[in-house]
Amino acid sequence: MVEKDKKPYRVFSLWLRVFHWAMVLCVTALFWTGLYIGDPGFQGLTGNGIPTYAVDGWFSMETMRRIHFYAGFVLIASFVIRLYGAYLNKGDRLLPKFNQALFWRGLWITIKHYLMLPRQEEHRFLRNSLARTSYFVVYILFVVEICTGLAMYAMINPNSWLAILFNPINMLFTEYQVHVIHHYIAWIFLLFVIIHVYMAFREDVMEESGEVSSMVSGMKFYPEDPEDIADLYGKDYVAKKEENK
Amino acid sequence: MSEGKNTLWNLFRERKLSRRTFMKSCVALTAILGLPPTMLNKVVEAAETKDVPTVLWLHGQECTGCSESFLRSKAPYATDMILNIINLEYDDTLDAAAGAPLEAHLDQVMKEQYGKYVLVVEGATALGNDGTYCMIAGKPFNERLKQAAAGAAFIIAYGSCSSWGGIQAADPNPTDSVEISNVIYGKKIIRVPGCPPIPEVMTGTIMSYAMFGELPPVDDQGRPKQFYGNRIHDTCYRRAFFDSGMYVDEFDDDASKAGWCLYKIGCRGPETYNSCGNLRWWNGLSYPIQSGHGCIGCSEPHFWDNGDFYTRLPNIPLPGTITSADTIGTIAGFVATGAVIAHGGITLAKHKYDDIQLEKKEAAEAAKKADEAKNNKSEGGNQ
Repeated sequence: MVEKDKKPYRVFSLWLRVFHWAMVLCVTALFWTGLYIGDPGFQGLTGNGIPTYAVDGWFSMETMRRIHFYAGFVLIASFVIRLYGAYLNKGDRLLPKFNQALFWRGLWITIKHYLMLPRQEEHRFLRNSLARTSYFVVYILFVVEICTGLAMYAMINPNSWLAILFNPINMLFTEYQVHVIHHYIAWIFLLFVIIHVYMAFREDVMEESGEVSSMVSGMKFYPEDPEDIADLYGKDYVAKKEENK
Repeated sequence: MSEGKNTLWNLFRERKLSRRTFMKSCVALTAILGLPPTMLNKVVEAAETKDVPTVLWLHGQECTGCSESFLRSKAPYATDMILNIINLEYDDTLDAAAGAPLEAHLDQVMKEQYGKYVLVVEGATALGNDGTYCMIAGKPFNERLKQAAAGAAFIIAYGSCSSWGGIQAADPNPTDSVEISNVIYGKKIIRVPGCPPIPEVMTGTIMSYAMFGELPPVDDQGRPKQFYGNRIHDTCYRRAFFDSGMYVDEFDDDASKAGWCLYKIGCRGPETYNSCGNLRWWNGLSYPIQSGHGCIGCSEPHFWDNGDFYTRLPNIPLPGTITSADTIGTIAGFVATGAVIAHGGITLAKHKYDDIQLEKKEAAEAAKKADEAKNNKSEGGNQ
């Protein structure tokens, strides 16, 4: 049933939305080119009958690596933009707050919701505890991917400032293991994307809060204030609301 | 400038070699050290004035392959190196003497030249069982090493064993073997890793010191920059095939015969720093990739433990399986997709079920109400 008279909430800044879609494009490019770099797979034929992996010169390792590096640098740039958005806008800082009781209660409610356990509770969050945790983990994985990626990239010239900055990562493990770590984490992103897209669409259909379009417009819609509204409007707003009651 | 007694120039004169021969040797030395021709004057000056360094060469847990490699150095010849350019006082595999007199000589040199000699270490050191897994002259090698290191001007770690621990430090490391920098503190250690290192790299490193009295510039991991400044991959003559996407799939296929890139059959060139690509082996004759076998990354730490040498990705260490991250990732991707679809289906079904239950409940309530109303009416009628 469509509930009428929903109130709009401006949650995400333009910077976060730009980052989100830049990230979608970049991660798609990075994942598939990365798979090719790890295991060059497409086959074509050269004139002499030996199979090559450069179909018409387009899927050559050189091209793939170039796309991978360009996408990587665009991702880093958009990550900086996203951090700027988080500096400006409270709605971009929906981090997991492990020290709050609301977080742990919300986590339990959300887990019950997704496992479809009996005794469901009404839940209305700007972002639920499970999503907050998983996005936070994904951001950490992004940082790991960026750092390990730059550690490998920079060592083309071990005397460059980039190498001086990131080579300690190679020394912490070995450079071969850094390649392997970079590769393993890429697969975690694929699993995240599958589950994330499903959950976003499911939420959009079930709650009709504009979950999917919020990443375009920045707006979400609720009949009442969500429980974690303090993260968007501040504690003063909540206190005032309590008084008015 | 003080004139040393034991200089290279004096050695040449003692042997009645001409100045011309001496100059030619200096030109060769300049080239080997990777220096520009303009540095020739400095090399000549050093060869005329600097004393040749005293070197003590210890062998720990190792196969002596590094010495074998060293002896095959062509430019300069290892014999020139040992007999003329350095003053090798102790090396238990090369010395003609052996046993107690040789050990006594080592003790004497360590005392007399305290703080001046160069210590070369080949092989790792064992810590397990109080170091008794590696005994030299009746003493644990670990003790001998510490004793010799205390009086060394600096230390050269030849080979992957002394640099990173090598094969005996590989999993499961039964003798608790470690690289020498784990037991030596406060001394400058130059690492010359490789299994074995390239002969010219070994002689070149010690030559830098012999000529200039100072160590060559080293990178973050203590390896001489002039020899370990590039990845094998970035200096590989097959790099063009890599960039063009032309790879060998199997050792006996056409691509292998055509000499294409060995990346897909596990070449570790992209992660390995060494001079194989530019100096090559045996006086520039060849190196593993040139002979059709991928690099195994022998100069990198823990290369024994980095999966098998013929695949790019290591196998996932699950018992009883041979599978890589790509296989597991693909399966996990499909499982996740299936799970998501199933979850969606269950959600829909549950909604439908809830709706039906709700309708039934409402219908039942409505019926109940109707009944009650009827009863009320009939009761009312009776009254």
